Amino acid sequence: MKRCTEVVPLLGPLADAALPDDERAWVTDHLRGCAACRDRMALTAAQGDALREALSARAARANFDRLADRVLARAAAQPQHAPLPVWFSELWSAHRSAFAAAGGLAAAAAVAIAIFSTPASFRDEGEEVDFGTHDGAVLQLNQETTVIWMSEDRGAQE
Amino acid sequence: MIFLLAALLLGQPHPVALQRVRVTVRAIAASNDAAAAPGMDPKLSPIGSHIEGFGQQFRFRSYKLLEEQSFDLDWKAPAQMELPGSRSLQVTPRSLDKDGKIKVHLELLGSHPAHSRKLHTDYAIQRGGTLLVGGIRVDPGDPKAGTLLIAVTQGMEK
Repeated sequence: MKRCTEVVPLLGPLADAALPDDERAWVTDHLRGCAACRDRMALTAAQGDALREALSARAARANFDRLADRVLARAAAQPQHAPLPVWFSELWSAHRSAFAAAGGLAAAAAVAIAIFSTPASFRDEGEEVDFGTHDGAVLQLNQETTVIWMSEDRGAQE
Repeated sequence: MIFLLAALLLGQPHPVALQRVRVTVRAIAASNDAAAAPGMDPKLSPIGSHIEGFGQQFRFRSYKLLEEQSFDLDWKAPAQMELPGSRSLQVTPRSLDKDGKIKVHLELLGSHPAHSRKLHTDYAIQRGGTLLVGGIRVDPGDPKAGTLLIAVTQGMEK
């Protein structure tokens, strides 16, 4: 005998008469010997009936007279937005990545022009110290005093 | 065309950059030798605050002025000063920064005839500021002679 966990998913299709013959046979056989699944089957059937009744009642109340007119009137009542020209939106959709890449390149070029057009005297070119064959370090004591400290020559060639 | 003219104008040197720049170089012996007079040589009073700031970090017992030379330099014109121990320092004012600092090119050269370059850098000094370069012995053959400290001061001194 099949287990209840295998039967439960098929109760709905059984109620809808949607099961193939071979499955319907063993599901029906299981129901004969299982009170719990019979209760489940009854509940599934009742839910299906209730759902059908509710949908039928709602459909009966629906008014489809002049549906098209009402749809158009509702659309006309919505705020209007100036649509993009069709050619532009199509162009944008088709080449969005190309537009984005071109924009990025233009921005990078603008930054590069700004950097290279700045006078050299105002550019912070960095402050590096070449200690040659010595070891050394730079210490900023305050805004007015900087110390560049170097060790004796590594090769002791003084 | 307008952008081209603007770029050319921006590329011109800053008007202040046409002035000469005054640089004072002092060679100082910093020592912990018990025989040396303690404290700071009164001749170093124009850069006393810088030496005091330095002393808080490096704690030498005495500071004695060995050489002093001032230069009124054109931009990018080098000045050379002989230092103890057959060394020399070459100073070249390179550029004026937007915030009033001058960028100087420094080269510390080793004993003649080797003229080995011990250090070189482009470093910014603000007006009245001092760049202290030190660490090597005043006299390579005499440890008691102390450590050479080279003070490069821009413009007016406090």
